Amino acid sequence: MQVFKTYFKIVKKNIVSLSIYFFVFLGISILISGQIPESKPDEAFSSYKSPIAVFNYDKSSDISNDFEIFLSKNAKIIEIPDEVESLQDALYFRKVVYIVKIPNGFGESLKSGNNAVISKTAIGGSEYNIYMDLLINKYMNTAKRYINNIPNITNEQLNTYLEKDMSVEADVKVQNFGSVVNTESNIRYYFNYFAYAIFAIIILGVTTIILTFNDPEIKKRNLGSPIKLSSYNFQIILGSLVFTLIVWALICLISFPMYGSAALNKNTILLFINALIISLVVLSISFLLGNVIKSKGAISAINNILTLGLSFLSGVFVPQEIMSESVLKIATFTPTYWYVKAVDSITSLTVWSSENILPIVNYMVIQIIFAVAILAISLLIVKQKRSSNQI
Amino acid sequence: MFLHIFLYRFKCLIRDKQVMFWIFMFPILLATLFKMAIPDVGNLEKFEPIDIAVVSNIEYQESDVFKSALSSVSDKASDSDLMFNVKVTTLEEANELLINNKIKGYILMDNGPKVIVKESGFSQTILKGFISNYLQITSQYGNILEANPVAVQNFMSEIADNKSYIKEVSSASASPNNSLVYYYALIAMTCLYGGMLGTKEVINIQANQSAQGARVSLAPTNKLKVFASSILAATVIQILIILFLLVFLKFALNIDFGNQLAYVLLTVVAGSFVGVSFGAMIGSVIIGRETLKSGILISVTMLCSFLSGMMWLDMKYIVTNKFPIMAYINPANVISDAFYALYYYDTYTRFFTNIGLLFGFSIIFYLITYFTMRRQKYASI
Repeated sequence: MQVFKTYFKIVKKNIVSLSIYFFVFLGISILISGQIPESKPDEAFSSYKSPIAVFNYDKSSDISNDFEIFLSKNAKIIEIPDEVESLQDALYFRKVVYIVKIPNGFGESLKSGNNAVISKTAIGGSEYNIYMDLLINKYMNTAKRYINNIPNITNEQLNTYLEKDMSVEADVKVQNFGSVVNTESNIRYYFNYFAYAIFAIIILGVTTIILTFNDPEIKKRNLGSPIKLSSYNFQIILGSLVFTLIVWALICLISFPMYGSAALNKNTILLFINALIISLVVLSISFLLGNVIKSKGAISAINNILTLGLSFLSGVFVPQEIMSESVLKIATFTPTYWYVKAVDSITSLTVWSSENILPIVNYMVIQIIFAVAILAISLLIVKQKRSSNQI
Repeated sequence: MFLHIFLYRFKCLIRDKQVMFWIFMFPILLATLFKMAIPDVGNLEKFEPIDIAVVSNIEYQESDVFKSALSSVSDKASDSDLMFNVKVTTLEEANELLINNKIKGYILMDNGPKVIVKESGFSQTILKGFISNYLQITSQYGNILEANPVAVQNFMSEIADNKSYIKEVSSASASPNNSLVYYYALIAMTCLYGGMLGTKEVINIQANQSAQGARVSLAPTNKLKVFASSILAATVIQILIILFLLVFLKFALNIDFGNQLAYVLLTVVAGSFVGVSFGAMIGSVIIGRETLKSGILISVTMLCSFLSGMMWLDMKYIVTNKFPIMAYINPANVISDAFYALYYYDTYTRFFTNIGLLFGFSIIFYLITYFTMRRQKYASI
């Protein structure tokens, strides 16, 4: 097993550049995990509260003050200074999605029937914009109807009525159908990013090693040694396989300490299998590249193009559901697209029925076909090289 | 002499395939991928009618008021107020649709309308808001009937006639399209990648780092003059590359840079100066092989780009608000911020602060380079 041993000696030499990708992957995963709160299956319904900023310049009016309280109950109030640039920044980076300014004298004009308007700044046409508009207009119209229809209504009366009306809320029941796996869970992002990490690491590793073995001088020396060519090739393939399995296992195992209970789930087994399949696809791609690429300088360029290209195109970084149809159509020609599709289906899988499992198996089979096809091409190239006496 | 070195350094750099890949091809490739993957924000946040179902039981069929309230927000004919796509189903069908994520929730009339959902969320909140609104008007009707029964007629007519109490004030002349941050950070990254050219020039002039440097040091020419001419070649190449990237972004990918062409060009020049000088500084300060220098250059560039929001948009805002100093000393952030300020703000104070900072950085970087490289003598190489 000299060749096999040599294989891992070369891995050891390149361990620094390989582990960079590994740690970048870990870093991104930890960072993303911190951002998305791990939501548990809902027991009770909680309303979504848009982050908004409120500036009340009509503090002397009860109507305006009560309105401000109403807003704070129905939205998340973010404190930012009322300066043009900080408001613009907050809106641009979506720290707030809606800014309300209650002008001085608003309460009085509402009562007296003058043109009472609140000024808002929002992201045009966005859903938060429409929702907040509805909420505010509902409150104002209700208040106005009281003012119009109950003569001489006092501010306290108005407020009591409004508070009473606004506290009437629809009865919402959250129906749990079996065990609910939240579609927004972090583990989904983890396994989507897995595709990026495994592509970068395996392509870089396997291609570098194959290139080292394919160096004309080294190859000539090795062909002269008393070892069967089939054994020599077998050991290289075995080495690549073991290397791939180690990387796969490492990343899979880390998901346990990172996600704890969320990873201890039947679905995780499917995720592991799916990840193993894409790892084999990458392995066959690396074989192909290792036999096509001639210089080491080209490896990192081609590795970056391929890895980033496939990842962006097929929804590894950006969820598939928000990508455009036409891009996704192109993406169906990539194995990563089917990998991501499988991950998405597995993480939203709640009922293990053949109806739900079958599409996932299909996605996996498509990936395997990719692996076989690419492997066939690379074997063809190897054979052609040998028959044309190239070393 | 000056022109001669300039010309030949220009040719040498242009023909360096590996460097050209990273500073020329790679950003264009990355930008294309961004464009493909990152959806237009306008479409992402746009309100789409929500798919819901309503269970058609006896109570629903008898409640004409509720039916008309529902059809007023789900009628396809008046698409201005279209909030819901409603399917009328049986209870079993509604549950089936909900399990398979075909609807966000359904309405069941059971002593008044009730909402059944699978999870909390924004669409579900809108559904709840609609039903709440319906119940609140009912509650108000009761209150008014009690307090002033004569007004009920008028009240009913007012319900149909909802007024808007909101006036829109736009925050800036440009729309807050936040996906632009990715592209601006990408340009900043490309500017800093130009550092590879700067590093190369430094290596090629130092006698202990390359054979060419040894030869150049022997020539009876002022070293500063040689360096100035070759670094100028690097900067010109860098400016051309960034210009090409901008043209590509603007015309092929339709990325908006605002309308001030002259200011955009000024940013390109400032960004290129910073990039090349940054690389020159790294090249002179770090002692070691070229791979080590470019390794450090690339990792610092990546870190700076990350902090300016290239991989994750929110990062830029977090840094700007929590660690303002970091935002000011990170050249990548200052470059992307200059483009951002140009696009989004109506005033120029922030833009010119950024440009000033950029030229300030280049001067500092070049001074450091100058003081490490000057008067170096070698007893043996």
